[in-house]
This record gives sequence, structure tokens and C-alpha cells, in this order.
Amino acid sequence: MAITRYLLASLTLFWLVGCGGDQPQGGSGLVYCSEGNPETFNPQLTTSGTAIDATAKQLYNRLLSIDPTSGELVPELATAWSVSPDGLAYHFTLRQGVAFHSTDTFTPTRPFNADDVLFSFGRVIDPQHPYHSVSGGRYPYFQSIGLAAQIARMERRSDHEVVFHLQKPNASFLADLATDFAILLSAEYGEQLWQQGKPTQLDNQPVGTGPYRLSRYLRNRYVRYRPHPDYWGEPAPLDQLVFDITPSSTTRVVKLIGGDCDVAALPQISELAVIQRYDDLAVDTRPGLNVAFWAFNTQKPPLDDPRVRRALSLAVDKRRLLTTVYQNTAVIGKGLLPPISWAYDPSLPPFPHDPYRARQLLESAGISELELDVWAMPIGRIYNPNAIKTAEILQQDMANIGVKLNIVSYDWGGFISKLEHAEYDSVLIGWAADNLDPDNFFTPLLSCDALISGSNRARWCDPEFDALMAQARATEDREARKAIYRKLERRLQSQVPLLPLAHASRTLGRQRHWQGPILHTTGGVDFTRIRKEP
Amino acid sequence: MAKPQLYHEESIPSPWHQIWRHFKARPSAVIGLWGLGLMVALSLFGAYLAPYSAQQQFSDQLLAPPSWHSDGSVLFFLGTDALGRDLLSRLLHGAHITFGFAGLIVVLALGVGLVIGTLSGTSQGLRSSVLGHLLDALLSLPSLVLALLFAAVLGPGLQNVFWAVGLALLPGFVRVVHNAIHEEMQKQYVMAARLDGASPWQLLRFAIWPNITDVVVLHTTLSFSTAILDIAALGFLSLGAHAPSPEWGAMVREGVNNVLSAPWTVTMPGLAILFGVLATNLVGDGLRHAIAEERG
Amino acid sequence: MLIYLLRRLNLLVLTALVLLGLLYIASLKMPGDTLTNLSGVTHPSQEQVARLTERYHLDGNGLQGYLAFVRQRLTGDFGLSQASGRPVLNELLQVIPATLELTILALLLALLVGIPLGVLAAGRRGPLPNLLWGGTLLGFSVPTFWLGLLLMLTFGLSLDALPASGRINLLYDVPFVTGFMLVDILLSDAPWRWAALWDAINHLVLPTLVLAALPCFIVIRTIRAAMLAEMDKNYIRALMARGVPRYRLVLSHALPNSLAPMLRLLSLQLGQIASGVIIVEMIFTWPGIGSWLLAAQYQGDHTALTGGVLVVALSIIVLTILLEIAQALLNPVIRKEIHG
Repeated sequence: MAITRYLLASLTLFWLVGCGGDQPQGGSGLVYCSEGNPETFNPQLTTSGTAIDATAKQLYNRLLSIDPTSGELVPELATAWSVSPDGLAYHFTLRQGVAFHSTDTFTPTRPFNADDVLFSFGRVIDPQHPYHSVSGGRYPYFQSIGLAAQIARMERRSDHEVVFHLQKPNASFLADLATDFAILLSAEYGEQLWQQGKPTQLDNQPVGTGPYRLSRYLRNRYVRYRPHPDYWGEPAPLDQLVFDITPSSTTRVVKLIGGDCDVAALPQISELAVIQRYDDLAVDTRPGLNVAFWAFNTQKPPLDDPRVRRALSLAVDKRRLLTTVYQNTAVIGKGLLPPISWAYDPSLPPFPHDPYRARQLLESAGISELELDVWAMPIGRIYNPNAIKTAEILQQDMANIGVKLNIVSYDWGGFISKLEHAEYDSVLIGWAADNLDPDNFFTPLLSCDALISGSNRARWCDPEFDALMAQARATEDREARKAIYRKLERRLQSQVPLLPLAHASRTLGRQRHWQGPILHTTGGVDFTRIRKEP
Repeated sequence: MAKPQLYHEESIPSPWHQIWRHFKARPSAVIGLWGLGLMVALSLFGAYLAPYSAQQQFSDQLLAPPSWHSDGSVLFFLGTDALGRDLLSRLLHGAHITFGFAGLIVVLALGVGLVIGTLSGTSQGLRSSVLGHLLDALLSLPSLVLALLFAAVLGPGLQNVFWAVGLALLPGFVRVVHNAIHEEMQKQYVMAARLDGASPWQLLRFAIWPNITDVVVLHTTLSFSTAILDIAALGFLSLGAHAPSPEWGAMVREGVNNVLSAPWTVTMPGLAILFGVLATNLVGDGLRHAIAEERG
Repeated sequence: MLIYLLRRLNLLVLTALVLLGLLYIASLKMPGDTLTNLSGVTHPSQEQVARLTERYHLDGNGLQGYLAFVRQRLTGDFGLSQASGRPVLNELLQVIPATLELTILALLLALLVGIPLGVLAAGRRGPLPNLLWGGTLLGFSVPTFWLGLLLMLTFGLSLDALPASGRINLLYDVPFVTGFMLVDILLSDAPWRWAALWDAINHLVLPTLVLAALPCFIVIRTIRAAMLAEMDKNYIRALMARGVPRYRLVLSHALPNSLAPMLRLLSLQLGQIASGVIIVEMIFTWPGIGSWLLAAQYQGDHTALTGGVLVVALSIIVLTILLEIAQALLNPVIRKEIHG
């Protein structure tokens, strides 16, 4: 290496360049090197972190949001809200004078009002809504929490007052409305596109009320945002925001070091030390509200047999995963809930690692030879920086108990769409929570409702489990809820529809002079409060 | 060297002898030949020499640096990769994929090229021209682009490498054989043989083939180095050998993920490819010189 | 000469037809719906299916289908990209200038460096010729992707001197006019024009160097070999005997005569150079046709893939023929050759 480096260094004589890595003088703003193409520009339609990062906080607003530091609900487009004593009616007072983005094809004639709220939520919950089936008609997050069944009706009291009537009390309703998915669209834009016969543009050429508007999106290249000139809140701090789509983590770090990226998403853990070698770079880490897991397709024999699933879980050496894949920046997953959740149960025993018993279990299930496919995500995600590597380790663990594991992978877009057909035996994937409510880890992942919406990767539907989850949702008292989640976690451990692997910290690399909260415990990246320090 | 000659013997060394003599006189060519021999031996027996299996993971030795590094260990001579697999063992196991597979492809392309080249070289008119166009179309598709197509049709895997690299090499062989035969056919000794009543087969077997062997051998060596580079490049682009496979290009691809923190995961397989190709090229270069000198 | 040109044109047409045939067969054999693979329309409606089946003559026999395919492609209808839903041709026009910019610069660099070095390597004195000879041999043996990675590591990281990825800092919002970044920057009237130009040039250095390596080595070797052969010829000896200085012999006689073989070898190596382009674009995430093709492959976008392959292969064929014509202009003897 040293010799090659020397030789190559002498090559510089051919090209005497000035000091590289300069900040551009003219074009100002911030470049965020992101990990992939946003699948859509409407967060209602997806649970993919990549799409949420590129849309939710930048382009849109919600009725209310969660304060990242205190965890309290704070107003956004709703200035005030109240709950009726029976817990069935939620009354929202809307902010006035909120302007939508103007684009080449759309100029808003009126500010935000109650119609937009009805339009945005109506699209999700009402199958008769003209936009309901546009762009596939799937609203994975809302379907997984059963929003349509929760809401009896929505009522427009005036231009600036809306009431949601629920079927039954729900402790996590406000938290659900504060997620990155519950964004507000423009009813006027929707109507215009409907008349022009181009309804899908609502999701591809977004119009929102957020601090940035979309300027240009080039697939596989970049997403460029410009500030929204008439933003109702504190104006966007950047002249422009660019998402540089760079799937390779190494390239992102290289660009960060070279100065082409100001902020780089998801550096690999082994690269953190490299970033820290440079004085002008910094690493941000935040313990994540997420879980990586290995989901078994419980509708496909022999994985419908809990003994087989338990046997597979016994064979996995999670400590090795932690050192190899996460390089110890994660904690072992004992259940679905990560330690920073308030409902986390520290007394929960970890899944044991016992290949010998695994073999016995397999024998007792009458299985001598087993060959399984494991689908592994092609790109790094918050909860699992390298699923392929994870799969390779699992492959070896499984070989120890005589199970042959085949690794299958596709490009991310293809992966997600193929997942929905549920042809897999098992899949390595995970979940990043959208709000602080523990229910967010259970209902979207393992409820029968989620089977329809597709976010139930284990294809698991257990009446007992469903009843417990419903009970937890209806309980207001924290301690009582905690006890129910404890039961749920134990049932998960005995049935193993999926095997929790780890809870990762979310990290990103940035140029040191960019200050401000980019990462939050929940939801996507946030460039609305970033500042450049000299 | 010189033996005492008791009797005056007129011994005319065969052309191959001559070429070998010229070849031997170039130190670089001899070094290359030794290197090539070593690589062939490794691709045949590498798997038995490797201290560990290609997939064995040492979870306490992730990204261990090579042994000469201050933190390195002799147990993992060239270091380990991100999964704790011994790089030396992987390289040894991978030799038969990158190097051996290249050999196989080249031999097959040579065989087919020889047949087609002979057919087109001895025939004229339409048949030759149709073949020419087909081959020109193939020639315009670099192996990498061919591999893109094959990967789309067959799905990624080593079979793509086989077809893509083989088909990319074939036109070169055909062209060389065709041109060489074409050239020989017009020479007088062939005409003489033909006038003697030699059948086309005899003509080929005894008159033409022996005289084009040197050119063909030279082209084979060159194709061999191209094949190694192509196989590695396809592995690197994940169009050929895939992740757990210890194919050298695929190893570089895996190493890229850690190139910033553990550059040896990229440099080691790269050096192995470089060594193999360089040895082949040295032999090729030596041959070229020897043939040129032999032919005057 | 006219006959010669006609013959080349004939060759071009025939080769293109064979190529299209190969691609058509490939399209039929690719996994997934054939109609989708040909047209790029994912989940076509009943009416679309009927229209496209008719357009591509899928209900007819193989020959009709092939002819319809040829007609579509030659009239510029490359279908839609399955991944983005946009016409493949539009996407190609977006990415091709980036590739051309890089390739042209790299070839210029290769000639600029390669020709003088080739002349030097043809010298008879001193260690330089041998060093250069050994150097080119080494250069031929280095895998392009590895060289790229090494340069990226060295210059991009250890020395922190050059950007090792991308085409320009994305904060410069250069409007797309010609697609050639350097030209577009000069055409724009933004206040940051010169800074952007400097930035774009910096981004060009590493990919250009890596891409130029292989053609440069080819040029050095062929120039050297041709020069040596040329300098042995009688007319040169005669001139030498008359006392014409060596540098003039080289510059006005030997070198011009060495250019034809160089072109010939370069044209034979076009495929290798194209492979190099793809690899370089992938390593340096250069947004050209190479990385576009790879993305199409990874995303299973078969329509885009075949469209891109067609364009790459056709340009190689056309370039080969152009280079052949150039050789013919340089060397009249070739014109008489019957083959082909």
C-alpha cells in the first residue's frame, strides 16, 4: 500500500491542483447524501424510511407533531385540540393563513382549510373516495393500525374546525396523527389533477405546506428542494436542499470527506472511525426506536410449525451479529420493543443460543433436511446496516444445525414490491417506529389487519395476540399497558413468528459546521432547523 | 552448452525449438512462465493448500490486518474480511474460479474458434461474408455488455460469465485463425501441396495448421489475460460470481464496503489478479518476441 | 473510394440487423412478460395490450415480430423504462452526453500522453524505452476497477485532494442544455460560473485518468512497434545517410506512418474501452450511460437494458467503421482489400 500510495502521489505532479474539498462559493445550501430513490413523494403510501426522509418533514406538515426533546405533542397545522370526555371525539382548530406550494402546474388560490384535512384523511380511510385507489390504493401504515375502522366519521365544523369521531376510545390516536405518514395534502390540487385526468401526479409532483418545495427530481441522481417562500412558520434555513442519491455507503463517506456531501446518511459502522479521523467532520448518533428482525413466513410449511421457528431462532448467534454487522453500536433484540421505549421490560430473558437443542427440536418436528430462502434487503437501513452480511452469518449459523439457507436479494424497489406477494420463506427486514407509542411496534407488524396492508412480514394472524394488542390500545393507564406488552413479548418468544435481532442506533456523518437537530428518535431526517456555524 | 561434436551432424531445430530458445533468453518471459506455472498449480491445488475453508468465519477476528501489520497475526497471513474470513484461504479457493475458469473458457473458445476460423478461412464468398457479419456484431458487444444481457436472460451467476466472456473472445479467435489461414493459403508451398493432390483435410492437417500454431498460441495467451480481467470485472460488478463466492473480483466488490477502514480487503484480491494477469502477459510478450525473432 | 464507402455502409446495415436480431431474441427470452419487456409498459390495460401486440406483431410469426421490432427501434421508439415510466430514448439522451464528455477527454488525454511516450519508447538508448515497455505491460495487467479504487483511496481520501465521486457538487444547479457539463456551465450566466467550472474539472480528473489508462498503453505500444518497424525501412535509412536529423525523421516521416496502425488497434479495442467506461462510471458514480445500464440491470428494467445495449453496440459499430474509413484515408492500400 505504502509504495502504491507513494507512486500515485508522485502522479500528482502531472496535475497540480489547488486545494480540493473547498466549499462552493456560489451555489449555497446543503447536500444530503441519501441511500436510495424515494419510492413516492406521498408518505401516506409507504412505510419506507427513504421515502419518509425525502418527504415528510421537508415537504409537508401534519396536524400536530411530537417535540423531539420532550416527547410531548406540539401544534403544527392544528393550533389547538381537545378530546371529548368519552374519548370518542377529537376537536381540532386549524391554523389560518397557511399557504400551499406553487409549482409549474399548480397555483393555489386559497390557503389551507378544513377541506384539505377531509381530503387527506378521506383518501386514506374512505374506499369510495375518488383518490383512494390512485397509486395502488395501499396505505400501509394506516391500514396496519386499522385507521379506517377506528374513525366513525369526520366532521367539518367550519373552515377552521374539524372533528374526528372515533368508534371506540384509542389511547394512541393523537400519536398516530403526529406520525410522518399523517401529512396534509391540498384538496384543490387534487381536484385540478382529477379534472386533468392525471391523478397520480398528486403523489409524484407533490404540493404540500412544508418549509421546502420540490424543485426537481432525477431518478438515481438527486432530489432538489427550494425553500417555500410563503411558509407559515419559521422559514427554511437553506437556499436549497439537495438529496444526492448515493446507494453505496462507501461512496457517501468518500463524498463527505471530499466535501461534496454536507451530511451523509447511514455510514457503515466500520466507517465511523474513518470519519472521526477528519477534524472537520462529525458523527451524530441517536439510539433508535427500531428493531431488526428475521421474519418467518408463518403461512408456508414447515415454517407454520412453531417448533421449527423456535429451532431456527435457537441456532442464531446474535452476539456475533452484533459485533460483525453492527460493530457493537446496537443492543441485542430480546423482543420487539427497544430499551428506550417506556414499555420495555428489562426482566425479559434473551432468546437462548443453543444449536444442540435446535437440532433436537427440528427432529421432534420430523424434519431431517431443510432448505430455506432468506430474502435480504439490498441496501443499508436504519435498523440493519447490511442485511446481506447478516444473511451470510445466518447462513453459517443454520448450516450448524443442518439447515441450508439460500440468500435472495433484489434492488430495493423490486424487493419491496416482490415482498408484497409474500412468496418468500423468510425475510430479513425491520421496523423503525414512527411515534413513541409502544403499539407502533406491535399492531403494524403482527396484527391480522397488517396482513392486508402488507407490513406483517411474518404473515402471522393469531387471535390471542390480536386481542391482547387491542386491549393494550384501549388501556389508558401506563402501568396496565406495560403489563400487557410484557405478555405480548413473552408470547412472541414462545411462538417466534419473527426473531428480533437488534435495535440499532441511527447515525449520520456531517460536516462539523452544520449544526442543528437532523436526527430525531422517531421519523425521518429533518432539515428545517439546521444552521451553518462559521 | 556446447557438446563436443564428434561427427558432423546436421540437426535443424524445429521451429518450436527455436522459439523456445528465443523465449528462454528473455528473463522477463521466464519469470512470467514461472508465475503462470505457479498460478496454474494454485488453481489446481489451492483449495488443498488453504489453511481454512473459504467460508469459515472467525468472529473474533473481523477485519484483522495482514500479518506484517503491527496488529496482524500470522494465523491470518493476508488478514481477514468483514466476516472474519481468512483472505489467504479465500484467494486460494478463488484461484480456480478466476484463473481456472478463464482457462476453461479460453480453451473452449479456442476450439470453436479454430473450427469456425478454418471453415471461413478456407471458404469464400457468401458463407464467409455472413460469418463475418455475425462475428462483427458480436465483436461490437464488449464482454461486459454481453454479460449484462446474459444476466438479464439467465439471472446472475457464473453461467453468464461463461457465455459472455466466451462469446466475447470467440470473434477474436475466429479472426486470427481466419486471417492466418487466409494468408497461408496464398503461399506457394500450399499450392504445391495442392498440386500434389493433397485432400483439403491433408492440406489443413499437414501444411497449414503447423504453420499457424505460433500465432494461435500467442493469441491464446493474450485472450487468457483478457479472460481473467473480464471474469474479475464481472464479479466486481456482481454480474458474475456472487457474494459468498471467493472469486477475486467478487472479493474486491465485497471489500469495497470496507475499503475505507480495511483497504487490504481490496488490495489483496486486486494484487492477486494483477499477479496472474501480469504473469500471463509476460509470457505472451516473450512469445511475441520469440516468434518475431524466429520469423526474422 | 465510393465503392469502398458503399461497402462499409452495407456492412453497417447488415451488422446492425444482426445485432437487432440478437437483442430481439434476448428480449423474448428474458424473464417476465414479453410485451412488457419489449414496450416497457408495466401492467398494461386490455386496450394497451391489444395496441402493443399489434405494434410489435407478437401474434404473427417470429420474422414479422423481428421486423416490427426493428421498425420500432430504428424510428427511435425504444419503449418506456420499466423503472421510471419515461421513454428510454429520453433517458438515454440525458446520460449519453456525460459519457461522451468523459470518453472524449480520456481519449484525448491518452493520445496526448501516449503518442510522445510511444515515440520515446521507440528510442534505442537509455533505460527509458525498457521502462516504458515494462510500464505498459504492467498497465495492461491492472484491472481497471482496482486501479480506480486505488486512485480513489489515494487522491480522494489520503491526500484529500480531488473529489472521487460524482460529476459536480450538486449545489451548482447547472441547467441542462447540451448535457456536456463544461459547456453547460460556460453557457449559464450564474455568478458562480467559474467556481462551478473549477469544481467540474476537479471532478473530471480521476475518472479521466483511470479511463485514459488503457487506451494510453495501447497507443504507446502500437506507436512504438510501428515506429521501430518504420525506422528500419530503407527510405529512412537513405534519409539518415543524407544527414537528416533524427527528430525530423521521426516527426515528419515515421510518426505519421505509425498513426494508421494505432487507429487500427484502437478500433479493435473499442469494446474494451467501452467496458472500461462502464466500470469507471460505476466506481466514480459518474451519471453516464454505463451507470445507467448497470442500474437498469440491477432494477430488472429489461426495456431500458436492451435499449442501452443497442445504443452502445451501435456506437461501437459506427465508430469502428469510421475508424476504418479514417485508416483508408491514411493508407490507400487498405481500400483495395476485398474482405468484408
